[in-house]
Amino acid sequence: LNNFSVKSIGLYGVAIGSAIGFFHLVTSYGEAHLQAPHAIAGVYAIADAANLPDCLRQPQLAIEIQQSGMYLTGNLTTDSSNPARRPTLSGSFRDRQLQLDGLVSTNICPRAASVRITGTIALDRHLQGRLSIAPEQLGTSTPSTSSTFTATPASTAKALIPAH
Amino acid sequence: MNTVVLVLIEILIVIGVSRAVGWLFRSIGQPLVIGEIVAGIALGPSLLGWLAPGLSGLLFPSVTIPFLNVLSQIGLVFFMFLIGLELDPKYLRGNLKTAIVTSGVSILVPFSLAGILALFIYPIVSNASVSFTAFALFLGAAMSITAFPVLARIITENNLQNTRLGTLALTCAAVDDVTAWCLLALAIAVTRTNSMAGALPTIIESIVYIGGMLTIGRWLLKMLSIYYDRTGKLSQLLLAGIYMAVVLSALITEAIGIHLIFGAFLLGAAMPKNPGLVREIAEKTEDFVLIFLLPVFFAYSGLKTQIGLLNSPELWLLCLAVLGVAIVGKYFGTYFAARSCKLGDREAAALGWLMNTRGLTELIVLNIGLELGVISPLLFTMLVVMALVTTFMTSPLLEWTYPKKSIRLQTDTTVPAATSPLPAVTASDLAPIDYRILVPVANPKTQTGLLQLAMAIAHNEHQSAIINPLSLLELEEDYLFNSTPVEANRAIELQLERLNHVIATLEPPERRSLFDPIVQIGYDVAQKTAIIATLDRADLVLLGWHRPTFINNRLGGRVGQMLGQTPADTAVFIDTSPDPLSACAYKTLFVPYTTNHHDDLAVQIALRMLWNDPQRQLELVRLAQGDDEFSAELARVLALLPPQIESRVNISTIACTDPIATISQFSRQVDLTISGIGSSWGRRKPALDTYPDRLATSCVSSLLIVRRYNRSSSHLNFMLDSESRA
Repeated sequence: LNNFSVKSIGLYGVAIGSAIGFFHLVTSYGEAHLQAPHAIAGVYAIADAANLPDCLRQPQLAIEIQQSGMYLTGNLTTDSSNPARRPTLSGSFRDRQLQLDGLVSTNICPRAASVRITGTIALDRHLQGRLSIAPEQLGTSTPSTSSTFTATPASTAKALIPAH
Repeated sequence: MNTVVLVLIEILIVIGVSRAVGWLFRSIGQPLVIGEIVAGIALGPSLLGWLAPGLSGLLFPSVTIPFLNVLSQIGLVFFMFLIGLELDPKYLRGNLKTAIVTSGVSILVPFSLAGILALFIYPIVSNASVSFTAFALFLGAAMSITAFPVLARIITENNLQNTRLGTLALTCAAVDDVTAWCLLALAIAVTRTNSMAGALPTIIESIVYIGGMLTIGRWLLKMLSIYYDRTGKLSQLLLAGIYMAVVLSALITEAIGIHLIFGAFLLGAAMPKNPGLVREIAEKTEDFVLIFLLPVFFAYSGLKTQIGLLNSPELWLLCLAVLGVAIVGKYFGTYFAARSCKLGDREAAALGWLMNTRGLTELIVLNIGLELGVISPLLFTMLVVMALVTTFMTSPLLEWTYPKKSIRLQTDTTVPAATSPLPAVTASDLAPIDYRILVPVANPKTQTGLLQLAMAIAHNEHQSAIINPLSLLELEEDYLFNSTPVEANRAIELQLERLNHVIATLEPPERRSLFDPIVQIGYDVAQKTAIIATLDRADLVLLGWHRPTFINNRLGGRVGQMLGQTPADTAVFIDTSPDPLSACAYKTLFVPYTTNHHDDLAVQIALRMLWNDPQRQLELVRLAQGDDEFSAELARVLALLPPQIESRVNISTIACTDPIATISQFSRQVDLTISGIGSSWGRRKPALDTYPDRLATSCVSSLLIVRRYNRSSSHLNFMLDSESRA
C-alpha cells in the first residue's frame, strides 16, 4: 500500500473514469447511429423453383447462408443436416438485397457449374430470389439459364455455428 | 461408423498432429502453443477442408462435433483452473506501482482503440441481433488480453524471471489477466442481456460470488491446505473433492450468467499457494488436460476458423486494421506507460512486446464470443490471425529489442541474492577477473573430477581466476506447471544446492571460493553454452564426456556440438582415475606434440598447471613424423619459462609413425595426458572425425583433449605480462 499515494490513486481514478466516459460516449453514439445488417444466417429451403436443371430439382434443395455482417458465404445443399466443410458461394447483403456467387457442388450436380443467387429477404425472413446457372457446364439440355424461387428459413444461424 | 469410435479416431489424429506441429514450432524457437493452435486450424476448413473436403468430411463429420465441443469445454474448465492455480501472489513482487500504471494503460489504450474500431466495423461485420455495446465490449476485451501463461513461459525460457523486466512483465500480466477476465465476464453479461442495465443483476451476483470465494471459499481451501500439510499427500478422495469443487464453481458462474470458465479460474486463484499442494494438484491434473483435452479445444476452435472467409483484398485490409489496432494499442500503451514510470527505452519496448502476447487466452475469449454470436465467423477468423501473429512476433521482437546478451547484466536488485540463479556478475566486476573457466555440468554428482580439474587449471597465485560451473535446465513443455517462473526458480535453486554440495567436497577447501555456479533455463545446450561463454569472456570451456546414444564416438553428440560451436578454447576431460578427487594430485603430465595450434594450447594448459603446483612434472614429447618443430609461439613461451618451471619440463623427441600407439605407451606412466584434438579437426563433421575417439580409447591415463579457438591465447598471460614488465 506504500506504493499508493492519494495523488496516484486520484490519477488512476481519472484514467479509469476517462476510459469509462469515452467508452460510454462511443457506445451511445454506436447504439444511436449505427445500424448493422439484419441477421439472416440460416438454412433456406427452396420451393416454387421453376426451370431448374435436373440435378437441382430435388425436394430437399436449400441454401445454407453463413453471415458475417454484410459478408455472406454459403452453399447450395440437398442435405442441410450435414453442413458443408467449406462454403462454395460468397457474396454480400446490403439493404435486404443478397447476392451469392460461386459453384454448385459436385455432390449435387455431376459437374461443377457456376451459379449466382440474388434476392430480397423480407422482414419475416422469406427469401424471394433468382438462381442463375451456366447450364452448358452441367451437360444438361435445360434451355433456360435462370429461375425464380421462394425460400423459407428452415433453421437459424445458431444451428450453423457449432458445425464449422 | 459408431460415433464413439469416430470421436476416438478424431482425438487420435488431433493429438498426433498437434504434437507434431507443436514440435515443429518448438524447433524454430516458438512457443508450443502456437504450433498446437496452427495444428487445430490445419485440421479445419482452412487447410484440410480446403485441400481434401471429402477426407475432412469423413474424419470430422457433423455428428461428432458436439462431442468434441463437450470435451473441449471440459478441457477449458480444467485449464482455467490450472491458470488460476498458477496465479501466485509472488508474481506481484515487481514494482507494483509501475506494474499497475503500465498494466492499466496497456488495457485502457487497446480497449479505447477497439471502441473506435468498433464504430467502423460494426456495420460491416456484425448484425442487428448484436447490440453495439456488447460488440464493442467484446472487441475491447479481445484487444486488451495478454496471455499470462504464454508470457510466463517466454520469460522463463529467456531466463528473465529474476530480471527487473521479467518481474515487472509478470506483475503486469497477472494484473492484466485478472482485469481482462473481469472485462470478459462483463462483456458476456451484457451480451446475454443485450444491455448494460440488464446485466446489472448478473454483475452484482458475480461480485457477491467472487467475494464469497475469496473469503469463505478461501477459508475452506486453507483448511484443505492445513490438512494436506498434516498428511503430506494428496489422496484420491481429496483430489475428487477438489475436482468436484471446480465443476461446482464452474456451474455456479454459468448459472449466474457469466461463463463456466470463470468459476474454475476463481477456484484456482483462491487456492492457497501451498507449494506442495499446488504442485501435486497441478501435476496430477495437467498431463491429461494439456495432452488430451486442450488439443481437442484447439481442433474444435480450428474447425470454426475459416481463413477462406478472408477472400478479398478488402477483407485482408480489414484484418490488417484489426491487427494494427491490437498491436499499436497494446505496444504503445505499455511502452508510454512504462516510459512515464522512468523505465529505460529498451526495457519499455521489451515490456510492450511481451504484453502484446495473446496466445491461447485470446482463443478462449474468441470462442466464447463466437458461441454467443457476438462476433461473426469472419471477425473470429481475423482475431484468430491477430492472436497468432501477436504471439508469434513476441520472441523475435523481444530478442531484437532486448538481446539475450544484455540479460545477465541486469538482474533484479530486488531479488534476494540467494534466490537469484545468476551469479552476481556485473559489467564492473567482469574486469578484475583475469582468467575464467566455464564448466558445463549436466549431473553435478558425476562431475566431481571435472570440477577438481578445473580448479587445478584455474588456481594461480599471480592471477585472479573464477570457475563458473554451468548447469542448464531444460523445460519439457510450455504449459507444464514445473515450467512456470516460480517452479523454474525452485528447480534452479535445487540445482544450485546440488552444485554447491559437490563444490563443498572439493580439495583443498581454500580454493572452493574460485567457484561461482550459474544455473539457467536453456533448450539448446550447445548454443546456450556458446552464448554464455561469449558473455562471460571464458578463457576455457571445460567439458565432461559421454558416449552418445546413436553414434560410437565420444566426441560426437552434444560434446561434438559444443566443440563445434563454442567460441572459446575448449577442452574435453575423459576421467579414468578411480578417485575423482585425485585431480588435485595430477603430479605427472604428458603432452604429445606435433606442430599444430591445438597442441600449442595443450602445452600452454600443461604449463599453467605446472605453475599452479610446484610438485608437478611435465613430459613434453615431440612426435616427429618429419622435421616437426615447436611453433614460433610455443618456442617463445618455452624460452620465457623461469628456471623453477623449466626444471620440471622434460622435453624429448621421438620418431613416430603411429601417434596413437605412442601416446598409449607414454600414458601408462603419467597421471594426465593433455593432447590437441588433432590437426584434421574442423575439416569434417565432429562425429566423423575418429582421431579423438581413438585417442580416448587408447589412452591409459586420464585424458584432456583440447581444441583451440582463440588465436592469442590467454592461459599464460600472467607469465608473459610479468616477463614483459621485467
